[in-house]
Amino acid sequence: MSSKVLDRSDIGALFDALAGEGYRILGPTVRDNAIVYDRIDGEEDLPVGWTDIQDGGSYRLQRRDDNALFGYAVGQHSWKEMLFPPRTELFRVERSNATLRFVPTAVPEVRYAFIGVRACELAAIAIQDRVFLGSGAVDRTYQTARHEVFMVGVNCMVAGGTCFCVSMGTGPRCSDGYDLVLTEVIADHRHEFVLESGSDKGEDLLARMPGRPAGPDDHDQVDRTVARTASQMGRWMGNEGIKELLYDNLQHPRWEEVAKRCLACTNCTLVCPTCFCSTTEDSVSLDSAVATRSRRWDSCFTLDFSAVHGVPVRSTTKDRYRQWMTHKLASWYDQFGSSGCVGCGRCITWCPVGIDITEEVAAIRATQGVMA
Amino acid sequence: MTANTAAPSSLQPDAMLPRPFRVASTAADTVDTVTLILEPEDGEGFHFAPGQFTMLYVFGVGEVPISVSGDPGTAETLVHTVRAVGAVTEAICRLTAGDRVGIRGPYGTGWPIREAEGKDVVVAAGGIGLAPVRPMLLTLLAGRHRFGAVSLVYGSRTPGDLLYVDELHSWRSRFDVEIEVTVDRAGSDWLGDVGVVTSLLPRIPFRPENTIAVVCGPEIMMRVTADEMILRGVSAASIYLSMERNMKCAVGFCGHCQFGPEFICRDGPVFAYERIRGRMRVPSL
Amino acid sequence: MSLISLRERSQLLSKLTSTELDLFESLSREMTAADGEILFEEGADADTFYVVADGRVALELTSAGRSPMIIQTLGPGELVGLSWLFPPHRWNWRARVVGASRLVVFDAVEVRRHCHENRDLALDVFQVVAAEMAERLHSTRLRLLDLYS
Repeated sequence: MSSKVLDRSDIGALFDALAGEGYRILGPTVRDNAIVYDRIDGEEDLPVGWTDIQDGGSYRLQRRDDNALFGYAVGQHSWKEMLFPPRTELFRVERSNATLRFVPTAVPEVRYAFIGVRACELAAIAIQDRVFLGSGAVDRTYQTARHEVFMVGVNCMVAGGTCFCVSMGTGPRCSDGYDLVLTEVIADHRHEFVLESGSDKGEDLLARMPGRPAGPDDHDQVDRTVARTASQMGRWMGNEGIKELLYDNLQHPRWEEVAKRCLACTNCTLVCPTCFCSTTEDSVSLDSAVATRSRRWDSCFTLDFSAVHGVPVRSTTKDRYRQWMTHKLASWYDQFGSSGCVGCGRCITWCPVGIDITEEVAAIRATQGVMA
Repeated sequence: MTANTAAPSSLQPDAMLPRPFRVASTAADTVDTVTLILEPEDGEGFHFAPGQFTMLYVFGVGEVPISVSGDPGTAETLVHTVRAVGAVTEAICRLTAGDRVGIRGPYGTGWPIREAEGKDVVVAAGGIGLAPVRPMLLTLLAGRHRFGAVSLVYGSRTPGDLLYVDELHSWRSRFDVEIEVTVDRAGSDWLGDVGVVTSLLPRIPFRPENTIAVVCGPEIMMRVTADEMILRGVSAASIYLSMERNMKCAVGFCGHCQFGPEFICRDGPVFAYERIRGRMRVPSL
Repeated sequence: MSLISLRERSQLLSKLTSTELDLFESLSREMTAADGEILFEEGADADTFYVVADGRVALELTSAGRSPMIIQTLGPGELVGLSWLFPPHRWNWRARVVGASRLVVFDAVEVRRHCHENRDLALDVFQVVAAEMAERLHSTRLRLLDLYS
């Protein structure tokens, strides 16, 4: 795999090349005072010169003192929305003369290019790959959207206030899962991007980019950027032995305590890039000739999520918070061979009351063995 | 991981798409429970292992997991016994011959038939829980010589709630199977037992160290029955239960049926008690 | 019929010493009962108790304007009657035989008298009856849970 250095003025070539190959380019852009992922046409649509200030229950944009293209952390959107859409029609059922015909809904075959995918997000996509493609059945919608994605990773140049990828071992350096990865370098009156390929597809594209070959100094610059970001983590997850810790403390009084603050609003599950729960919805046309079955995101924080014959198994917020956190941090290892958490910090930032998953783990660890 | 996943040419059959089935007949078992015989319309038959379930779709209403209750030796039809407890099951119980439904599956793990060979088998069922063990009982009876002593203990609320009454009578007339039935409440015209299902266990023949127990019913019933079997010397590894949770997809995608690390749909519904015993004691897991 | 042959199947009898079993044997006799035969009526003096050898006994409650409800059935090896051990020695339920049955009937008055005179025997008898009561309480609590709903 090879690498190149592009000047800021040449970065448009990346967009041109991807557009030329028919990709629909998605990336970060500013909308409603937040950085979201949406269709972008070129580097001018990126959040140029913006950064974000994040903390528990708090997110705001702020001007940077430079014109960095990727000088911020992740917002409330994740790439999950493109690969596992919030709502998907699964099939239609046509009824005539009492017979039923089941017609699978066509999945649009869009070739996506994701620009600015962070290391934690590549890790999250790898996790959802295991959920939807690698653990038995294959999800048709996910597979169709996923298989042709051109993945442009970004090594983070700043860490957010709620970031903890270092402690989860997922970042800030993109180590796997990208076609191209770029590191933005702003120093000594230079504004450049170090581009490294991670696949044959990436290698082909890189070969057609302008710029100069990257040298040892450039790679040192990438290492320094990544190291600086790693040192800025806003949070730290005590991840050692976490599965056993949580399994052994299912009756810990801390669950009651966090439940007093938790609103069961489902925000954490919606912003989480790995949460994959869904439910189904059925509808019928007015003439009763066609029924439709759809899938939409669901959350383990809702009361009816666990209902069997109308009676919820997890009737209190305590039960549901415990389910979410022990699934994410413990039973995920048993199910999919890794943590379900990538340390992106979204659940902390977007929690309206600022519940901090790292703090909850620390509290249980500090008083483990305590029984309610 | 690589950036590219498999191309769509490797797309498997759509995991969420049902097959059309025709309702051949329906019969009411009790006030709220109906047994349906379904026939696949694609002519491909239906093969399953005792203990497995399907996702049964009713046009425009929804889809629910239902245990298969038929004879695993018969692939021409699919038999489901359904109790009306919600919108979808109520719609299922209103179906009549000629109606069409959608079926996905079968899904999940089955009862331990191979493990039971050469051993005594105790089948304990409570309420609607007789429906998921019926294929197991039919398998045991069809290959009777392969097993040791075979017994069924079956508990129900009242005599009117008993399923498969004619079949219970015909099994009772056999000399190679012990059938014990008890109810919680009965009038004086009831000639059978009144008492909790575990009170039947002292009466049936089994060698505790050489027994496979199959337990199916509401969760509390399974727990107390399994614990009673343990008191009587059967190991938790030889006791099997069928768990129930909310289920939307049956293939491990929707997350609803999680029970600790297990997806009931994929890792269950049949589990050795040993594997889930501790978690069954954690409230609201 | 010797009580020894029934001992294996009976929680009560299995817990007695052989001396005690001999005493019980001398205070008992075997009986056959036809379907529907009433062993005792609610409110009557409790001066007997039974162990079922074959068949079944239903404990039931009768009340005016309501068909009798069976509260529990007792099968082979099981003890029929607890009230004989506790004052005022009066039956709480009616005991009706279901299907032709064989039973062993004991003279409760004599067992009580022996217990009064022999505290060791009394302790053993109370222990086995208390164990039986604990088990029935447990079963009753399980039934209160409405296990099959």
